[in-house]
Amino acid sequence: MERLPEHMDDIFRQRLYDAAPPPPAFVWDNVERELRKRRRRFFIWFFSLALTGCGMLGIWWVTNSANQGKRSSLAHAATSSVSAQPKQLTAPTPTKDNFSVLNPAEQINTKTSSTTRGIQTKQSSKRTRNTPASAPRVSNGAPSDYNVSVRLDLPKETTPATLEAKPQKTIFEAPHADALSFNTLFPLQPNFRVIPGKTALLSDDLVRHSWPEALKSRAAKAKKPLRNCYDFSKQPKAWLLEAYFGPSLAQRELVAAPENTPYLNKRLGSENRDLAFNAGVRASLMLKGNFLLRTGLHYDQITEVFKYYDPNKLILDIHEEYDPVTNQLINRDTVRRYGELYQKTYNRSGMLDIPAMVGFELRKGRSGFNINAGMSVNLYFWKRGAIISPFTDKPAWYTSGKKNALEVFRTNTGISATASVQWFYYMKPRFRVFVEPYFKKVMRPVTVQSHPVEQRYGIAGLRFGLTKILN
Amino acid sequence: MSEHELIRGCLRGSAQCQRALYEQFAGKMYGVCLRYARNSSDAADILQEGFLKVYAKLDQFGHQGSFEGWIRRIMVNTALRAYQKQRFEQESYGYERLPESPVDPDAIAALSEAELLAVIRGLPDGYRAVFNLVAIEGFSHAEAADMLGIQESTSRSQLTKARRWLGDQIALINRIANHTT
Repeated sequence: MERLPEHMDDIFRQRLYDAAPPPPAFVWDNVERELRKRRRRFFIWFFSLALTGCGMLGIWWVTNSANQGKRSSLAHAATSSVSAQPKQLTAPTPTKDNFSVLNPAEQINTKTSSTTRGIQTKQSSKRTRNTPASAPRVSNGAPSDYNVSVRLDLPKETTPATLEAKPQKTIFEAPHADALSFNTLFPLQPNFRVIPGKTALLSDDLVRHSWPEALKSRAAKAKKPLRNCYDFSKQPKAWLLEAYFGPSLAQRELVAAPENTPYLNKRLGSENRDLAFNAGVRASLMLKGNFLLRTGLHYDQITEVFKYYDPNKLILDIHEEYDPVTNQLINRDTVRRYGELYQKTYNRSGMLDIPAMVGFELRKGRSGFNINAGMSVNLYFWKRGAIISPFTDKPAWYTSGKKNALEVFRTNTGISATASVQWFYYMKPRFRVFVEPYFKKVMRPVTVQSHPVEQRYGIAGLRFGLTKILN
Repeated sequence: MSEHELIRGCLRGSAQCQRALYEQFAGKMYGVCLRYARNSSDAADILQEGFLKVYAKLDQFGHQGSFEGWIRRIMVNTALRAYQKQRFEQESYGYERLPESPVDPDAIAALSEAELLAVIRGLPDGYRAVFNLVAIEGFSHAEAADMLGIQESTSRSQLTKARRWLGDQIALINRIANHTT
């Protein structure tokens, strides 16, 4: 036995520290593929985040629209000094016949916030009489069927002012609940709000002097209810039945322990992604606040192409002949066939799932969208196809029920996480069409533990479908 | 393309720069991986994993010190982690006592790089890691022990055993070479 002298360490260091043997070519291929996969993963995350952002923006937009719906004006912009001097209102200047201003001392509506002060009047004269002493009154004392209520957004220090109209002609009626129509009607007067009431009325003088023609026509349009739209405000609880179909893209992830990398590379080299599709039916319960509970049946079918080429295929055909009387072998003919074997197989697998999702719906006019997220439980997982066998390096079938089939896949894929965003459009009040991008991630590997390569799936796709609204 | 441009390009996600970086350092790093791995297949895996880490952590390179040194350190750590992961399946190499014979120091110098690598790869995992870290990379026993999660004394004893084992292997090669000539 001989010890290696310590100075020999230096020899090893000098010879090996900077040694640069050429690495195998497949390493860069693997690195490049992994980098591409990571880039794709980044885009998936980016896409998901963008969808979430759009959803948040949509919620903000609808909330904002609802708030703006409460705002409207009966005149053009008011200045901050309007409180004491109605003449300081910019266009239109109310006429004495139509408006009067109560004494600021008769301040009303102490409930109003410090930044938004204003006046409130009630719809009927009866209600006006019932208002507290500090409440505004019609200044000319004439009984009125309707009052026009105006709220002015004034600076903190401004005294609230009260304007009361003596309507002469009813030209506009709209339920307060229809906030959007108010918003559409008065888009240019953000300083005014219509106080909640069943009916809002305008004096025709005000209209005649102040409203541009365009606004009048818009007002006329806005009065009309939306056609071909189901009115969820009347019956918010409704069932939505949906059917859909569309293309998808299955993102497969294959992972193997280092010792199984050669087999992994063989699989990667012999299998390619092909078309996939999805289809399903879904029942959704619309709840108050536009929330949705959704379930149904969802089916994903994935296709992959398996290609195998063996340039030195040998096939042995053995024909044996037996004596019909003695049953003894009398002849054996062995034929050897050499040649190239090219095998192409379309591997298919399908997942039938029961999704359980929650969603939130946003609507505007005849269209809108909803965002949904949840889990789905696999009901049935079927698969048919061939791969390279990890034992023989030759093609082998894994189709369930096939003789000598390889055990590659689980019988059930378990739970998946899923999310989608649906854009819809009303064709009829109870019938709408939709487009819905979705993403689904199968949480656990679809392969059995004994298989040397772990296979996972993520599926992204589009759904085109129809919705029927029931209640 | 300068090193700085290469790094900036990789950070931008340029596939061309990523390829150029790989081509510039892959050879040397494969040499490192071969020394730490049991076989060339493992070395290729370590190289692949190491480069993916390099691309992922490139933004953490502070431009202080050698870029090659930084990559080398990532490769060494990746190799050690692979070694630690595989520790449970580590074969217990029996120390084969060979007939004593003197080792000609020139015999080591006469061996090719591939032969030297093959000799090192033949070392049991623990010996190989310590020999690589201390004898070749130049880490102290304290640093090597810290990196491997072992006692410093264990590191020392493993280095001694590694040297002895290598001495025996080189003596054997020497004898075979003399016999054939």
